[in-house]
Amino acid sequence: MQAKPVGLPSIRIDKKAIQRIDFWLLGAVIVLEILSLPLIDSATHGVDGHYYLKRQAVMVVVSFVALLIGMFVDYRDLIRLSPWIFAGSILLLALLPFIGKTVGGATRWISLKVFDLQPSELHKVVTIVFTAWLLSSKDRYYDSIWDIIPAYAWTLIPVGLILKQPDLGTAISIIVIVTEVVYFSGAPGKLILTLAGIGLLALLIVFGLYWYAGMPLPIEEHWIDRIVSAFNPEKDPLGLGYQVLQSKIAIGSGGLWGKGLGQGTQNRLDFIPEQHTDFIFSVVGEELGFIGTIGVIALYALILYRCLCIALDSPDSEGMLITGGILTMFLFQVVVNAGMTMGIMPVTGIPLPFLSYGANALIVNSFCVGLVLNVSWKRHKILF
Amino acid sequence: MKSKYREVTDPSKRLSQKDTKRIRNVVLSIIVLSFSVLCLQLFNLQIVSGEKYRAMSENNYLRITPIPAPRGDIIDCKGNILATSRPTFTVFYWYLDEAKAEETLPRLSEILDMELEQIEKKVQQYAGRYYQPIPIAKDISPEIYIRIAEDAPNLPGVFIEPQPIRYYPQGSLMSTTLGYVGEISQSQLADAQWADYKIGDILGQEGLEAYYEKVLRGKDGGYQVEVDYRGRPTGSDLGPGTEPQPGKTVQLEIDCDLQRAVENALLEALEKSETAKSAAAVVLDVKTGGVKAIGSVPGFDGNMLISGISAQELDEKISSDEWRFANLAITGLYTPGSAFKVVTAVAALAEGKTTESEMFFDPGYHPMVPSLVCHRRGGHGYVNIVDALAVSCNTYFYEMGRRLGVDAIAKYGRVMGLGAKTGIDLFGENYGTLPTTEWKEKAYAEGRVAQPQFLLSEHMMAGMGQVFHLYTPIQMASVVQCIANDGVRMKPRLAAKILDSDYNVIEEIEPEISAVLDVGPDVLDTVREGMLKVTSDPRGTAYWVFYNVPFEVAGKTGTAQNPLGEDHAWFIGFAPFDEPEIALAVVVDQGGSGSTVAGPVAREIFESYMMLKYPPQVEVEVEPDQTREEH
Repeated sequence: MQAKPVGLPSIRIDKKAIQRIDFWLLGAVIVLEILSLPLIDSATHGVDGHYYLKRQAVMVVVSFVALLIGMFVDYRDLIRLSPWIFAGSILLLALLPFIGKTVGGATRWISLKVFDLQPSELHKVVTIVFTAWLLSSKDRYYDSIWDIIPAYAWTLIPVGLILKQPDLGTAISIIVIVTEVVYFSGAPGKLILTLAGIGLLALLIVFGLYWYAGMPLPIEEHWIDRIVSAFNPEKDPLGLGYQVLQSKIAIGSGGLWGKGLGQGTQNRLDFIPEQHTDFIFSVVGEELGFIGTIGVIALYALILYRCLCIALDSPDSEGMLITGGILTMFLFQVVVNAGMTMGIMPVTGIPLPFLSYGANALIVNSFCVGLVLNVSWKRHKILF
Repeated sequence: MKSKYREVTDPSKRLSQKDTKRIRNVVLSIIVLSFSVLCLQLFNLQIVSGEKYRAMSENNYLRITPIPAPRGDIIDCKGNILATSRPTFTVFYWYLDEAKAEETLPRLSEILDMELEQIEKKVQQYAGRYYQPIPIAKDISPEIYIRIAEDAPNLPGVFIEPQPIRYYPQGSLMSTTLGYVGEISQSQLADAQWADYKIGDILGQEGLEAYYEKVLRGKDGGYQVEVDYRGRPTGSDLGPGTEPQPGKTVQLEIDCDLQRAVENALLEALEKSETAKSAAAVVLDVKTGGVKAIGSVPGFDGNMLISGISAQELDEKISSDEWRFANLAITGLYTPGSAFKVVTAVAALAEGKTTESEMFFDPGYHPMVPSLVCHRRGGHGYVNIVDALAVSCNTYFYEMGRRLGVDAIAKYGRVMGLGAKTGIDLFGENYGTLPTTEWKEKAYAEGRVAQPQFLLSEHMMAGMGQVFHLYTPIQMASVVQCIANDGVRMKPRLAAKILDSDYNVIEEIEPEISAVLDVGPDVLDTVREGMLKVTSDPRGTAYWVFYNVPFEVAGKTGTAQNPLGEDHAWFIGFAPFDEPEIALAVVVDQGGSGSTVAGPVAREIFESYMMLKYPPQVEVEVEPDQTREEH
């Protein structure tokens, strides 16, 4: 066994490998990212000389660079370095309250002049890589719950920091990602369910204490209202439920064929707040209709399916864990985001991968796709 | 080239086939399940409830701003306008946001000279309906118009729109019959017949305005406005919208000039009298039943009412008897007194209870019930029916009452239009009371009279129009019209034609026969002769009023005893005698004597009618215009 090379991740380009790229996955992502351009332009009505469109176009280009980096960096180098990356990411999250920018009561961003960095968004991929490192260096056999608890224990630190921002959606998505990585590592479902049960019990105790003993909650109260309103928007149409109701009206009124790009009245007349970021799916629904939206959902399904195939065919456990984590991240984001715009999921600030306006998520997601392609490419390579 | 990681990929660290399959199945089912839920919800929203959400989205961004349709006019038979719509300007406010409102509203209150609180209250009423423009001030003066127009940049959301408002060019003329309009009330909104009205709509509240509401009301037009999420119009062009359809015009049988003469005569009578507070008169076309004039004074000023009058001012006007809203011509109930004798006369002749040749001796009281006296102390001596009418001999009609009985009188009274609605095209007409034995039994059961039987004296008094009789002026006018028209009673009607907004005739309202009095031709001739003698025989009760009019008038005076106060003064009659054209009834509430108070009013009405119909052929020398001559 060779000594592990030390140093920066090396970028290696193999011309033959290019032909072995999973074009289904790459194609779906490219289609979605290109589709994001007219959708965002429509959602922002081309204001300020198509400011948002131009920015998004630049970000799509940058995201392709990120995708290429993800593809050509060796993911095993990333995993090897992941404790350091993890530490750095936690440092960034911890510094956020001091150097961060506060928007709408949440301190999530660090202003970098050209764009605002969102450490929690970055931390998603960091979590995947770090958990993969944590679990791949372990024995494959899981005897007790204690074998998987460390993966959660490590993650509690960033999750706590993200909750403080506050950003419930990202915090939950990180826990879900960790769970899925743990599952892909071969942990029996029983163990995970047991852990989930314990977690649920802990939540019940915390809320029980809150309601009956008045103990302060570690989260802010408005999240409860948010969750409640997300499921019943008609109850409070002008308050918390407004956004979801307007989003449902937008999607519902799209009908079979949609109102056409730029023609959605809900979108055009600004009935839906955040229609270019978190609620871009309602613009899809209103302007592209059932046919178009099913098409978009199919693209996501394709991405997820390809990720699953790549994960299971992965040449090594690291690749499998990373791909599995990325799959989970996409799945969670798509389901929660689309679900919230249709009123079946609580409203949490989770963007729709590849379509929502926003640099951080787009670049991180593209980088993740790059990593998945990286794994798939390695898989093919060992076949020879 | 060998991967430096090749060795690290230890097969022992890879998952078994079994594990891979398990993970694959579980993850795949999670993906399929969650995406199925998404697709199902998408299908539910877009396909199952698509129509509902489409309607909701249209409801979100489409607003209909109404263009009010002008209400139809009411004009007289010559085309004089009695009620029309006047263009006015209304100040509207379109609520934009709180910050702007805080700046705009105090400024607006200063310009309009309105309390800020009052404006804010109006704005608050529209909370949640801010897509609707809020009317702040109606019928503004040109000065305010200019000030607002000049200050427009500082008044965001304020705009001025023309709005037709009801206008009565003749002022208070005929006000009680024309009625008035007002915003639809809460209880009216709940009424099914006004289902297509909305808050703020104008509705005819009384009189002709109410009766012909469906004819007069136009159909509001409107245009669609696209608004954004805050209800602000985006300025997108959504087409021209629908044009308002103006309401139809109602042309009346009324002659404005005669109407004015009637009201002036009534007002004059009120002025002369110390006790009279109100008076009414109805003038009917004998042949058609068309209402030539209908007066009930005092009335009110519809223009003041519509442009806004404070509750306090209104109270003052009503309590000081300056204004009265009741149309006494159709709602006022008066004992007819001697004016009723024409009905008894018709009944007595038709039933054969007397003839023209029968001479009846009046000693000044009725021998069977000596307490029933005649108004002339010594009595009228021998009188036949014609003389009895002329001199208004009470004793003669006590006798007729005795011979006929109240039920026989009522039989004829009913045909002549008494005790029932005449069917005039107005709401709120009173029935009056045409007493019968049956009526009295019922009234007794209800505790309104002392005994159930009709006493002899009551039968007798019923013959000369006292006790229990209560009629409206329009009913009494119908009685005369019936007599003058050879027994054919026409339904009184105000409206003659329905015209479109350009005054083209759409519909003519045909005269309708209400009843025919089936008596021999001699009966009515005899009664009419008696009525002629009232004004033409030197012994006639109204001879001194009419002796010098250049045409023959048939009439009957009445001085009805009023248990509540002074006597009611009546005059009913028709003219000209040979070819009757108009029939009238005049009553001055607590005016006193029929001949001295109501008679002159009737004379003035007849004269005015004749003057208008047959204007004097006098050559008038017009002075040449000085300025024109210079050229």
